[in-house]
Amino acid sequence: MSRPAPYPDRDDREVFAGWMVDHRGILVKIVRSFTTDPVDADDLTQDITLALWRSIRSFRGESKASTWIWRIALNEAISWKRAAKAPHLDVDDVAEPSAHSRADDSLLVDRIYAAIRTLKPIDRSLIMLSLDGHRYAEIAEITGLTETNVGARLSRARTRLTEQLEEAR
Amino acid sequence: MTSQTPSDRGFDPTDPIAEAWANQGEPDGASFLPMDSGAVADAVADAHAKDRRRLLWLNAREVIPSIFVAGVFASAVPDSARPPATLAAAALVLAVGCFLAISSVRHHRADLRWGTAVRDQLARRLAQTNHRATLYRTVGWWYFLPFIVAIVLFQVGTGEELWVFPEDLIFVGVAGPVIAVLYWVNRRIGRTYSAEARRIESLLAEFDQTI
Repeated sequence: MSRPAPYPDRDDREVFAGWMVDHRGILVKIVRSFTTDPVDADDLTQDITLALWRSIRSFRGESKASTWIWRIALNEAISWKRAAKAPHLDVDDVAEPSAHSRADDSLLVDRIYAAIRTLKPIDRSLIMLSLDGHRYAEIAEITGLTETNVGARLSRARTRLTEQLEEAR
Repeated sequence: MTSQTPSDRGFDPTDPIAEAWANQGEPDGASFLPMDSGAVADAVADAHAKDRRRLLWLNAREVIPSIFVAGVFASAVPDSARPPATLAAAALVLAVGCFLAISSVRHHRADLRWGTAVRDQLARRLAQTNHRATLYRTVGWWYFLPFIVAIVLFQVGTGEELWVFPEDLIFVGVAGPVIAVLYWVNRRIGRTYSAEARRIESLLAEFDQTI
C-alpha cells in the first residue's frame, strides 16, 4: 500500500512555494552548472519548475524533499535541449563578466561553475551532488548509478575539474 | 549510520573547492528564479494549466481531421446508403479513438514500473518518446489504412460498382489531399520524436558506461 502524502492538509501551491524557499539553492546551482545564457537559464528554470510541479503529487515523503528535487531537477537538466545554441563556454571565459557574475561573487566559485560546465552532463551532476556534501550512497540513490560507478566516475570527474581549474589559473 | 569519511564522498569538506561551493552566495543571474516563491508557484501552476490545454488541443486536432474525412465519406454516398455509411464512419472514428486510448493507457501502466532516480526518469522519457515516435511513424497503418479499407469494403458491401458515383471523385478529390497532408505532417513529427529518442538513448548510454 502506498504511503500517504507527507503534506495532507496543504495544497500543492503551498508545498511548491515551500520547496522554492527551502531548496531554491539546488535549482540555482543546477541552472548555473548547465548554462550561462540568461535566455537558456529562464528556459531551463521553467522546465525544471514545471517538472517539479507535475511531480508534486507523486512525492510521498519516502525520501527527503531535497533528494526528490535533485532527482527531478537533474533529470530535466540532463535531458534539457537548449532551444537556441548558446556559444560553448570554456573555463577561461569566466574572466569576462558572465550573466551570473556579481561583484561579491567569488572568482573561485565562478571558475568552479565554468569548469563544471565543461564536463559531460552526468559528470556535472555527480560533481554538484558531491560538492553539496552527498555521500556515494545518496548520489547513487539520486542518479540510479551503482555506488561503485559513482565512486569511479566521480574520481575521474574530480580530476578533470581540478585540471580545468589549474589550467585557468 | 556509517560515520562520514572522505572516502565515501567525492570531496573532503575541507577541500578549498568544497568550501567555496558551500559558502557561495546567490548571484544576480539568479533573477531567472524570482524570490517571491508564491509568485513562482502561481506562474508554474498557470503554465501547467496552459500546457494541459495545449495537449488537449493537440489531441483534438488529431480527432478533427478524422471527423472531417468521415463526414465527407458519409456524404459522398447515395441517399439510400447514407445512414449505414454514417454509422460506419462513426465506428471508424471511434475505433481510432479507442486505439489511441488503449495505447495510452497501456503505455501509462508500463510507465509505472520505472523508479524516480534520474536514470529511471530518463529511461521512462525514452519509452514515452519511442511510443510517440512509433505512433506517428505508423500513422498510415492504424489511422489512414482502416479508412481506405473501410471505404472500399463499404462500396463493395453496397453492391454498387466501385467508383461509379461522381461523389466518389469528390471524395477522392477532397479527402485524398487532406489525408496526404496529414500523413506527411505526422511522419514529420514522428521523425522529430525519433531524433529525440536517439538523443535520450545516447544520454542513457553515457549513464550505463562502465568506468
